[in-house]
Amino acid sequence: MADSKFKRALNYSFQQEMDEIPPQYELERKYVFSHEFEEKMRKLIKDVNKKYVYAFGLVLPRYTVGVLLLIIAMAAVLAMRNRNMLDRSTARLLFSVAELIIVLIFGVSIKSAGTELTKTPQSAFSDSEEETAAPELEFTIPVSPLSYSKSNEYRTTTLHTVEYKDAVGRIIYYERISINGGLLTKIDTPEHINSCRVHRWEAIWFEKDGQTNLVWADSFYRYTLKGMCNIDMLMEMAESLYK
Amino acid sequence: MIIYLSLLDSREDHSKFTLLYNTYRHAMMHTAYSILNDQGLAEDAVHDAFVRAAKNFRKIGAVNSPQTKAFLIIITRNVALTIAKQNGRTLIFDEESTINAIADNTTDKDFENFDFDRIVQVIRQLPATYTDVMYLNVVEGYSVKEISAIMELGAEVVKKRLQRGRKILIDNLTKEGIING
Repeated sequence: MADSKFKRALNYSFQQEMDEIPPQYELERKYVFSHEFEEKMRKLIKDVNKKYVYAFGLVLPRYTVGVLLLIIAMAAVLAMRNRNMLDRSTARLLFSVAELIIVLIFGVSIKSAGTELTKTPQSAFSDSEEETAAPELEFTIPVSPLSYSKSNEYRTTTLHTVEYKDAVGRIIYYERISINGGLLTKIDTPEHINSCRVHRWEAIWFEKDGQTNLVWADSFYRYTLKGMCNIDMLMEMAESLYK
Repeated sequence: MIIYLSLLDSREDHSKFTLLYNTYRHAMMHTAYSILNDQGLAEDAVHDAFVRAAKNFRKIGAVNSPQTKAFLIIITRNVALTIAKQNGRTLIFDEESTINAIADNTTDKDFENFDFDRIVQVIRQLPATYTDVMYLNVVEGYSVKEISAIMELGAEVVKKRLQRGRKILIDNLTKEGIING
């Protein structure tokens, strides 16, 4: 076939041309690369070593894509939690897994916020020196109310949560989260809130989604207690932290 | 929704790229230097050629194969010719300005009656701008779009180089009147 002949001729002519290139040892003697060239190539080889992901015609570093996907996943978890499509412990678990992956990959810590938070200063969730200087409460937990027992506990350097469950599955949730020097935390509360005190700290309590919420803060942590119970029970639990 | 995620670089790819560099940098330098006659410019050409090779890494097969060598030499030559053009070191036929001036209806069948050795001889006389795209298209089977990405040329330019290359080949073969018996 003519095409075959043309193809073979092209291939043959190229092989002839390749054969005319002097042997490697001769070329190595003839061409000595400059230091600048070697340096540029070293950088290029290093760049090639970076891992990329090709998606929708874009070339992105693999790590960037990984973080974006994790952030999207975390946002989805939060959104589902806010719509009560996920229970708190599942949301917390998913969040922790995402956090762990980021920590393992990047060696940095991205802290999860409680789902009731609408806005929290970035520094409130960082592992800064100030935070580590905060007084350690040794993860003291509120006493279990009558008929409740501790069913779940989660700890990081900035977050400590405990769940209490009674025989019929009602849950009281306790959370202590670092606020790194008392920075403001916005809490998504209903219009009507009540003031009170826990130990010597100002506190608020309110009812939302059928649950009673008690929130207070000291200089280093914000505390939340909430559950399908009355405020007296939560107050008693809160005060037990300081006894 | 279908998400296409293709991971290009692995440890193997990195080794492969390093191996490509160690194996072919001198040959590429030889190609670039023969066009540019300047050590600095030739080094720039080799570096740019490796950048382009990295961009088209998935098209590169086994390191120690004639195809890979030809692929890298073609890229280097293309980059070197571009640098030469930018530096006014050589006059390169500007296809884009004359694209419409060429009426081409050549097909592969037109090579049927010519002697193989003569075709090879005439191909060797043809400018590399034509033979390189023809080699990538006819021998390696790359599409016009792929060649356009490898050579960083417009698809129309590639298409016209393919057509024009064949046309010149046939014309030169016909002029000589050498027809396989």
